[in-house]
Amino acid sequence: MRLFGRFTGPLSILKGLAALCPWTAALLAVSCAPASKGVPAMALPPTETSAAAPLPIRFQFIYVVHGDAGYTWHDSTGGRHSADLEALDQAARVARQSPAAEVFIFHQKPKRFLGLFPGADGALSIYRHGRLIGSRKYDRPDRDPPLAAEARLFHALAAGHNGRTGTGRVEARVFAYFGHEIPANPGKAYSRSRSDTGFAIDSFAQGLGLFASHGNGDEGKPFELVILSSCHGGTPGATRALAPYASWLLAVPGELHLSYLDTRALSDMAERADAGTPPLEAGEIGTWGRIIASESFERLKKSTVTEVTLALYDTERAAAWLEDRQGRSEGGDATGIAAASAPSEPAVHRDCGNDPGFGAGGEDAGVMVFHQAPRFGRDKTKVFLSGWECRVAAKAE
Amino acid sequence: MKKLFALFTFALLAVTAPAQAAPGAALVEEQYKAALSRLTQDVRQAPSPTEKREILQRFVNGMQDGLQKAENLESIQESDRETLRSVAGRFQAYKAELDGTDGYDRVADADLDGFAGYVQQGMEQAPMGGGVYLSGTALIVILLLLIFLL
Repeated sequence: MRLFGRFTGPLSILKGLAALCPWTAALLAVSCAPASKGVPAMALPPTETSAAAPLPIRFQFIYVVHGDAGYTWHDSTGGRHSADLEALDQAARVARQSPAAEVFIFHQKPKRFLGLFPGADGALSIYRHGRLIGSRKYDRPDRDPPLAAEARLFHALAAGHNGRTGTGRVEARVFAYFGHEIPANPGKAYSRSRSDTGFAIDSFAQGLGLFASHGNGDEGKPFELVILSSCHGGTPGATRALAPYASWLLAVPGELHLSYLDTRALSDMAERADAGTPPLEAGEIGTWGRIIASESFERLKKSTVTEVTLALYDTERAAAWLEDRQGRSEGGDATGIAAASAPSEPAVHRDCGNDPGFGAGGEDAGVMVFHQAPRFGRDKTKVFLSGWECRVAAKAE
Repeated sequence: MKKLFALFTFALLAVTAPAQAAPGAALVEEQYKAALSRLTQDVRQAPSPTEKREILQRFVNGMQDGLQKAENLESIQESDRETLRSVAGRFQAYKAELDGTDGYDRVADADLDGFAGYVQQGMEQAPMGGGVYLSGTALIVILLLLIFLL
C-alpha cells in the first residue's frame, strides 16, 4: 500500500479524492500530517465502527526493523536480498494471517534519501484483525531515547488495551527487533545516517519499557516474548538488561545470517479469532517461543554454512541463575557477566561455559539452546552448551 | 569499465568523505558484498578443483596482503585500523584453512564450493559492513583491493 501523502500534488486533486472515499480521506489526513508533531488520530475503517460486536484483540505484535545500515546479502545463486525489506515482508505476512492480533510494523530508515535529500526516517504500518488499516511516516528525533518515537505512536494508536474495540486484556505482547548487533556499550554510531552513539543494550531495554501500559489492569512486564533477530544478542549482559521487560527472550549468542529469524509461527498463535477459544495457558508463550526458535533454526541450518546458534531464555530463571554466578566466576570481566560495561578493546565471543566458574548453563539455567557448528573454521568441532556467549580479549585466544 | 567505476567512486568519495562517509560507505559495501557473491559463483562454476582453489587462494591472499598493508598507512584512523586488522585476521584464517597450515585441516577438493560460501557468509555477517563504518580513506582502500582482485 502506497503512502498517499508521499506525493502532495495540487490541493484540488486531494479534495476530489477525499470527496469520493471517506476511508481514503482518513488515510490521507494521517499520511499527509506532519510526521511526529503530535499523533493525529487514525480513523478506523467503517466496518469496525458498525453496530456488530467488535472482535477481541488478543495479541499485539510489535516489529521494529532497522534499515539505516548495510543489510544486503546474497544467496547461493547470487541473488541479492535486502534483509530489512524481507523482514518487513515477513512481518506483513504475519499481520495478514493474524485475525486475533493487532500488529505494528516500524521501519527505521536512513535520515536522508540517497544520503542527500532530508526526509522522515520512520515508516509505520498498522494491521488489525489481519487487515492493513493505515500507514504513515514518522520522525525519530536525534534527542529521543531509543524506541521513544515508536512507543509514542503505539500508545496513541493501539486499540488492544484501551477498549476502543471492546476487547478485554491482551493475552500476549510480542516484540521483534531486526537489525545489526546491539552494542554492549555506547560509543559508536549504530546507524549510518545518525549520530546514535548512545544506542546500546541498556538503552534498548529501557526503550522496551516505554511500551508498558499503566493502569487498565496491564501490570507486570510489557512483553511476554522479545525476539532479538540480531548478532550477539545472547550475552549475560543482554539477558540481565532485558529480563525486566520480557518473560521470554529469543536471541542469538553468536553471529546471525542476514536472512534473520523466522517469526511466522506468531500467526499460528494468533489464529484464535473466535472469542470462545480459551486464552493462552500459563507458560504457553514459552512453547510458541520454542516453535519460533525451532523453525528459525531449521531454516538457517539449510541455508548457512557458518555457525547457527539460537537460545530461548526463561528470563526469570536465567537472570536468577546469572545473579547467583555473578560473584563465582574466576575472571569477572572475561566471562562477560558484567557485559553491560564490558571493555571495548578487540575481543572475540566464546561460549561462557568455557569458563569453569560460569557453570554449564543450559536447561538448568532456564535456557534452551539450538546449535549447529560451522562447517569450517576452528569451531567446527566445538559444541555450544551454556546458551550464552561472553566477550573474551582477543589476545587471550 | 571497472577502472572507470573506481575513478567515479574515488571522485565521489573525495567529495563526500570528509563531511559524511555514509553515502560512500553504502556504495563500497554494496560493491564489497557483490564481489564476495561473484567470488562464490566463480568458484562454483570453475570446472576443476584446481581452478576453484586457485580462485580462492588468489582472492584470500590478495585481501589479506592488501589489508595488512592498509593497516600500516599513516592516513588510516585508529578505529579503521582495528577494523581492518580484524578483517585481515579473518582472511589469514581462511588462507590457513585453505592451505592446511597453522593447525587447520586443508579444505578438501570436494568442499571448495562450500568454503567459498563460508567466506562469503562470514564476511556478510562480519562487523565491517555490519555496523562498523569506515572513513573515506579506508573505504577507498577496500574498493581498490576489490577492483584489482576481481
